[in-house]
Amino acid sequence: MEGVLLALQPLSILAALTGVVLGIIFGAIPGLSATLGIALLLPVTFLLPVDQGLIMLGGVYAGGIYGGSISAILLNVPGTVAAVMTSIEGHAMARRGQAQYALGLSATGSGIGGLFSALVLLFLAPLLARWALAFGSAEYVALIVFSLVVVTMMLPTPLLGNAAGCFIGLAIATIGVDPAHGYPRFTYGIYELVSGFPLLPVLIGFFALPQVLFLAWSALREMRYGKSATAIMPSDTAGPRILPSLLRNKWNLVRSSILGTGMGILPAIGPTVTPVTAHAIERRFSRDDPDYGKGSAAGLLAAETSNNANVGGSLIPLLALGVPGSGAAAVFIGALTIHGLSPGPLMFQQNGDVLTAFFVGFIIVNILMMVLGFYGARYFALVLKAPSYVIAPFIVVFAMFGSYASGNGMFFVWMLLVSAALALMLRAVGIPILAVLMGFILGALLEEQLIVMVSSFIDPWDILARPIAMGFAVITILTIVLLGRQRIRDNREIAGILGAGKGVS
Amino acid sequence: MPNWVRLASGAILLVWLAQLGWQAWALARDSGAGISGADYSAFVSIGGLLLLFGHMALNILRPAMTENGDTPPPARSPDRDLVLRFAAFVAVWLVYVLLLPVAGFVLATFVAMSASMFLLGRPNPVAVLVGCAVFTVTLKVLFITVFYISLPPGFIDEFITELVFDLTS
Repeated sequence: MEGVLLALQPLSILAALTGVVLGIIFGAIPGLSATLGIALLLPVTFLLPVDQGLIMLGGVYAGGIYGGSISAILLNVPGTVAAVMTSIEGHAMARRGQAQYALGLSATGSGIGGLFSALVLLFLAPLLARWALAFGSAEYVALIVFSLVVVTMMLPTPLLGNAAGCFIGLAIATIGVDPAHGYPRFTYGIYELVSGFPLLPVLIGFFALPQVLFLAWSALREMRYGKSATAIMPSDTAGPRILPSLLRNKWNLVRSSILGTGMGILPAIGPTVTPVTAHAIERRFSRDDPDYGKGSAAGLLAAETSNNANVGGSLIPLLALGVPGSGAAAVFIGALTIHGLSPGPLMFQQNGDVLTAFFVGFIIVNILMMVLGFYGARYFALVLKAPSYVIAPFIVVFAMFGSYASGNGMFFVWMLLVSAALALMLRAVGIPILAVLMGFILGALLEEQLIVMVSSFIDPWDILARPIAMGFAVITILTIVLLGRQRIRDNREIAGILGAGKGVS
Repeated sequence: MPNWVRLASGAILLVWLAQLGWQAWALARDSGAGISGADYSAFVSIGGLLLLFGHMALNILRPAMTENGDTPPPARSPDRDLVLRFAAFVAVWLVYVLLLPVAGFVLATFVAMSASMFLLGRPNPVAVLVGCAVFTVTLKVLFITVFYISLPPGFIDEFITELVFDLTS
């Protein structure tokens, strides 16, 4: 009950409002993202009590995923990758003079999906955490291995690159003190590295600085060639048409919410893949809609509802088990560690009020997002006019001083630059940052639990007496077999299409 | 992206993983019987090395060759002026990190921000200079009064800090 009261305090609601507004702005500007917003605003949570800090970041996450739809609809440039399908359906509607209608549908669909996932988060996360209390080292090892396998198999980049990314992340996490013997290793004589690679500069370096370079290049191209696209500003009225549309699509909303939340729970399947899947599924139910794929309300609602439902879903394994469900959720771990909390089942016992406040706050966040999006999207659209040459230097300064503030020293700024250089090299080689980040975040726990597991098992077959661990092992093998077959089939199809293309040419 | 950049990046990562693996291997040999953190770190770094090598062999080295075994024609290089401006933007911020402890937060940040904006666009000079000055000083005051974090000091920073203390005490 205390947690509910904490969430309903005026300052908590102000934190939610601030988070949603900043999130929508970050999401709406092409080149910025929800993950970047969370990473940059992490140091600000130093100033706030932990519950308000988490609520604010929840607002940035949800608002950021929704905000991407504004530029997708008005500019045909997805503000975030999660808004790719929205740009197909929404921009076609905007070109037909239905910009405000599309923005309204996007806000309400996102709000409904977000609210659904917030309720699932409220009820499912504590249940999952209670179940996870029975976990020993074998179960944690099996769960982390399963998560890394899902990341490797599900990311659309080449399989070997994904696996290499996970291993590189695990290798970075070994820098610091050896958990078995307690001596420092791989520190290159740098005293500050004894406590490991600092999390906050790594998060900011991975997500903010490479994005700044992208923005800087965009600014230079704009200076030379002019803006590539101009926004269609909304001029229609949408209010009376929204409710009938929502009622017509009620089962679409239910399907997309369930799908989005479910996909969010799986590691690494963030809001990027979800709307594509939801849109493809909804196509089967909308065979009679001649506009599907060319500006359909059903397609837009499927995409937007599912990507915001994914947000709450991705927080469930993070909070209950310590395994993030998406890149942005992985960055969320930074907020918890700043305040000395470690995500997992024990957090529900030791900081139950904080989590209740966050869950209730996350419901408020989604309501605020829906209201602000519905009534304010046309005003948020004004940020699309902000020039990239102004945004880029501001982000560098915030990134540098966010890192500086995390440890109060220049060492953390240097670590930011090292992390950014590493992220750029990984990108150049084609290794997904998300795989590296998952390995880095889960690495310390994996090493610790693996050593405990190996030293506590007398016989390797002892694992057969641990049904949960065995269950995870079986699911891991099934994941490899089923998703591996799917990937081989997809590769053959792509090769077939390319072969046919060559034949034609 | 030019292929040499991808190869150089991959080579740096491979060397780092090999060095980590070698160090971990030596530690594991010294640590004796039973699994240790060194065994684990040797496994992940050598595993990472092999996987990265395999990934590069399949996805960078092989596609670099066309079906005839020739290297593909080089991609059209971007505008030289844009590349120079981009490089200057990156250099400004690298110099900024070096300059920060010497020149102090306010001066270094003001110079780096305004230089970046002039490099990346054609802004109104007065608006840029005034905007950057106001932003930098505001951030400095926030760091003193709200965050309680001491930023690298220079003569302007010391003046602002004293002024804030005089006004608040």
